[in-house]
Amino acid sequence: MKKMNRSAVCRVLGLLTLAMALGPTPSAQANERRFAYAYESGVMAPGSRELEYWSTWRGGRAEFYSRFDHRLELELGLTDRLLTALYLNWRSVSRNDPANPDTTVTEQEFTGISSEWKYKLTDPVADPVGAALYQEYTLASDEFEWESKLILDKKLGGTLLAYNLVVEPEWKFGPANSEYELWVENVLGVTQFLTPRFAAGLELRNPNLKTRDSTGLQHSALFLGPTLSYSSKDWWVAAAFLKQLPAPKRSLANRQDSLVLDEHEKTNVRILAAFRF
Amino acid sequence: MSAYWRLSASRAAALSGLLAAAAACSGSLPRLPGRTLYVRKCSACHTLHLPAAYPAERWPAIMEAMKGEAKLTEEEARDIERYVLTAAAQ
Repeated sequence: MKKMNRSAVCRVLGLLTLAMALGPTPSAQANERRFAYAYESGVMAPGSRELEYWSTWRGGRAEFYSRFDHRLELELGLTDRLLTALYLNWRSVSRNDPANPDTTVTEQEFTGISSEWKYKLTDPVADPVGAALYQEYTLASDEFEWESKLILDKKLGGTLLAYNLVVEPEWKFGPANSEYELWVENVLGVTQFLTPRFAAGLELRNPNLKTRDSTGLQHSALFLGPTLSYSSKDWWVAAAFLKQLPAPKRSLANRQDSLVLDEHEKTNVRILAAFRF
Repeated sequence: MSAYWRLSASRAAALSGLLAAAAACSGSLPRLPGRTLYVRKCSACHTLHLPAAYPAERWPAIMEAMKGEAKLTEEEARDIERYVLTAAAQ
C-alpha cells in the first residue's frame, strides 16, 4: 500500500473510532449478539420482535468446496425469561463436479425450518454467572435435528465471557435407510468492549462427531479466530472469521490430514445482522 | 464411560471452570429489597448497569427516562430507584 493511501485509511479508521466513542451512550440490548457462534444468556423484553439474518461461508476442503448457509430468523420475547424464534434455512454449495473434475457444480437447497426456545435462568451482571437453557428443532424433508445448549456467560467490567455446551443428535432419512449422528460442541468466546457499542475478541469452537458406526469419536475439530460486534439502539451486527487448527482427534476417514476436511472446512466466516421492530 | 464422553466432559469441565473462576473474581448485585424487581424489569431490555456505574444524582433522571420504556408503575420505579441508590452506597 502506498504511503498516502495508508495515511488516508488510518484517518478514516481514526474518525470511525472517534465517532463510535463519542456517539450517544447506548442502552445495550439484552439480546444483541456479541459473538457470531457463542450464544449469551440474554433474552428479549416481552412483546419485543427482531428480524435476524445469518450468513455463514464455509470454504476449503481437500478439493474445491464453497458453501453458504443462510438463515432468516424472526425472534419474539414472550416473558422476561423466555423467547422463541422461527427460522427459514437455505444453502448454496459449489464443488468439483465428480463427473468432470475440471468444472464446478453449484446446488441450492431449502434446508428446512427451525423453532428455537431459550429460557434465561440467571443474569451475567446480577449473578455470579449468567445461564440459559436453549432448545432448537429443525425439520427438513429428509432430516430432523434437535439441538440443546447450556449457555453460560459473565460480564466482568468491559470484558464478556461466554461458554456453550451444545448437544445435537441428527437423524437423516434416506429412501433405503436412515443415518444417525451425534454432535457435541464446545464454544468459548471472550470479547472486550472497546466502546459501549463496539467489541472485539476471539471465538473458539470444538465440534465433535460421533456416528452410529464409530465406537469412539469420528473426529474432533478445532476452530479459532477473531470476532467483532457493533450494536445500536435498533440494530446490531456480529461477525467471526475462524480458521481450522490441527485437530485434537483426526478424522477416521482421513488420518493423514491434521485438519478435519471431510465434514469441516479450512475457513468459516459468519455474519449476523439484526433489526428490531 | 467411553473415551468420547470423557473427552467432551473434561473439556466442558475445564471451560466451565474458567467461567466459574471469572465469576469468583467478580461480585454480584447486593441482595437488598428491590433487587428482584431491578433485575427482572431492567435486564429484560438491556444489559444491567451496576448501581455504582452512575453517580447517585444521575439515577433519578435515568429512572424518569426509563420508567416509560419499561412500563413501570410509579411504585416499581420508586422501589428500583431506592434499590440502586442503596446498593451503590454500599
